[in-house]
Amino acid sequence: MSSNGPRITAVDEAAGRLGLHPGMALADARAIHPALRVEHADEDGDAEALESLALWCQCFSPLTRPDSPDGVMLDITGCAHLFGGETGLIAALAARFVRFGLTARLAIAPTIGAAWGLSRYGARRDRGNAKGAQIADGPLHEVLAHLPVAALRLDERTVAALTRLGLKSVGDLLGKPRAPLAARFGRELAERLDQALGRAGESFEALALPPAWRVERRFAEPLITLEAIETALGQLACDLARLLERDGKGARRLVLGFYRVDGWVTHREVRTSAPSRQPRHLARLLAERLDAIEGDAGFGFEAMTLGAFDVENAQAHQEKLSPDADGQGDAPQIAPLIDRLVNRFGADRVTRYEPFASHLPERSARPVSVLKHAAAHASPAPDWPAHLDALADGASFGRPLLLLARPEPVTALFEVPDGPPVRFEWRRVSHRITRAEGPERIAPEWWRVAEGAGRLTRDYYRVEDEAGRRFWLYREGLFERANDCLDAMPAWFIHGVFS
Amino acid sequence: MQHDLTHEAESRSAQARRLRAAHLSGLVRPLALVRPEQGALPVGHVAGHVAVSLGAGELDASLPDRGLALGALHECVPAGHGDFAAALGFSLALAARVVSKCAADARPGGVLWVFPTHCGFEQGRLHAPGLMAFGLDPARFIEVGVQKTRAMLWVMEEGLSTGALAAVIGVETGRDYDFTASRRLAMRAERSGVTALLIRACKQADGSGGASTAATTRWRIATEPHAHQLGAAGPRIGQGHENPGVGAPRWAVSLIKSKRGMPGHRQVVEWDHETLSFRMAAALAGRTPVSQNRRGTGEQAGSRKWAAAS
Repeated sequence: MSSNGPRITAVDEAAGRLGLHPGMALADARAIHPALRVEHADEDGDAEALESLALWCQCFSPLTRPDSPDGVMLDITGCAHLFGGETGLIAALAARFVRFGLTARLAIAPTIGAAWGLSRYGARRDRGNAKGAQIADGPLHEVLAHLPVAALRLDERTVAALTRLGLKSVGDLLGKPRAPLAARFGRELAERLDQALGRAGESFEALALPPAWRVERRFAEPLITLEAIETALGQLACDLARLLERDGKGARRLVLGFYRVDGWVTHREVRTSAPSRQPRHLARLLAERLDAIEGDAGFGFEAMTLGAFDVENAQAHQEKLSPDADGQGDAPQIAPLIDRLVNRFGADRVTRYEPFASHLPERSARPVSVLKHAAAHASPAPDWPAHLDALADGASFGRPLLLLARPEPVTALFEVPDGPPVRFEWRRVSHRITRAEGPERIAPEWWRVAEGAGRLTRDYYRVEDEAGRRFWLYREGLFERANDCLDAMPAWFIHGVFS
Repeated sequence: MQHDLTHEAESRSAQARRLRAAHLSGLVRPLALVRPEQGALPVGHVAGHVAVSLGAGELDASLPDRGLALGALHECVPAGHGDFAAALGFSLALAARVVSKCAADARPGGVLWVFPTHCGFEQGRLHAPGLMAFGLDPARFIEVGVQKTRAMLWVMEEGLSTGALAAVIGVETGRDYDFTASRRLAMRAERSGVTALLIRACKQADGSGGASTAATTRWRIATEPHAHQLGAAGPRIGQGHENPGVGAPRWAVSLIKSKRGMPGHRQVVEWDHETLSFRMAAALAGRTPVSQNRRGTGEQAGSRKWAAAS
């Protein structure tokens, strides 16, 4: 909404024929045509739709991006031959857009600027069945010469100023000396002109990084059933595995893309713990992510792509000579199992233990995601015996089997201040202690005191109760300190359970 | 298609052959037991079942293969609410024996540990340095935290299917574990040779663990106190080197189900962390049960011993 009331942001073809155009005040338009049907502009919705359209266009080229407010840009370098040349590509694209109910104006040109200008301002020519599609054939300055200056992606003020000076088409600018133009209209004009003509480079920021290796399959009939999708998935996995095999690579991340006939796209991603290129394994991992795909299929998927990311070198290994057994011959690998677990439960739920150089029990060992662990496979395996030596002086039963998530306070009865308790109550159960070992003193880590970590010394005792249950208790704080500074009396906690 | 069919038929006939062979060797087994030298073997290769000796002769004797069968499902049931740690310790001790056997056979030695996350909050989480006492290398452990028993069973099945592990240890707390689920685990374990150990939540007061399952063995585990050397007067501890200490883990173990053998009676075993094997606690300790009215004497004996040592 501007100061003079609502304005038109977009018109359809019929309204355009009636002489309405974007930028017009709505009141004026209503005055001309009282029966006008008006919808509110939804800029966020448009941007979202444009982005999803750009994503869908990835089934034509991996490098696409939305070109707001009303365009989609595709880098089709090396892609056109898959569709029978540029004419075929543009025809296929146009046919899809017609089916989606979109009024699209398509253009192919050697530069981003030229394609932008051609698609928006190019004269409409029929090429095959692609209505209004433009392909820049011939030298760029000839193609662009008859376009209006607005086709150079200039702001409105520059366009208006140029028009006022009588410089109406790009051709008018081409012969002019550059210095006065740049002085009068700023560097932008010269830069846009150079970019359109290919004299200056322009980077293309794609929506998503292209995968290192990518395979795709298109289907004459859209796929709707899960069986068909799984079959296609198996073929894609085989294709990708062949590519990876050829180059001696293995993928750590795979993205499976589904392109629906009505221009909607969805992805499924899996990660692997080790670089993999076994088609059966990859397909199985991906197949587990297909649970809701049938509900999303709608009228079916017309294309599927499989991209390999995070590709690493993977050594070739001897496949079995006879393909009868299901990989039973050689030693089975743990990586497929880990991948399946990770893809079902998430990477942080499947962990390995890693020692950490701290005497505090809760910090001495920590779970590390298997993926992180596998990523650091170059580092040597953790030396647990040495770690235990450092921790508990090599005592075999020095550490409990179960460590509580956080130490729980217990009420303890003790004979002498520095001795173990005689009796303690934990979770409303009273335990009479018959045996005890200790204390093992663990001092706080003074360098972490600022972090609010435990500030008090702990004296750990291993105790056994009448029933033979063993616990790991500790007293937090020291008695002499408590007397000195009238601090709280030392409290007892249980930190672990022995088997 | 043709090829697939023939392939399937082949695999089916191979399976039938295997089954027949298993059946035949099952018939041979009783004969083999008659042979005198068979009993002397610590590790039995009987009826296709590989078993690992538990180290304690009496414990082995109660099992049909003279050891814990590999590639089978074994259940450990805590006798009471506070015996979870004991059941876990016992199953880890079993796992340690299995892993050492697998290492000797040059088979993979990894262990998959599956636990419900709520169990981790209640009972505590497995502490990697504590595993070392069982001779288990924490680096070989993969830990999976799951929400539900059904997910736990899925993980166990996956682990048992790969054959790239030595053992899979799970904790079952829900109601979804039934005969069918146990049969699935047992069949996968048998096919891959990976041993499945399942700690069952205590549902029944008698610790039987509820409905029947397809487990090869089921053990009931309770903690067992060491001898009451300190008497009723309370501990005399922290007084220097005479401190008897807590010592090795000790459990009262009952074999309450054995698929191909007889259930055993209650045995008190200890875990020896130096030989990484079980030992019979009573035999080594040589103690006589201290009855209620003789406790005074026990205490005196204890204090005499203290005096002598100090």
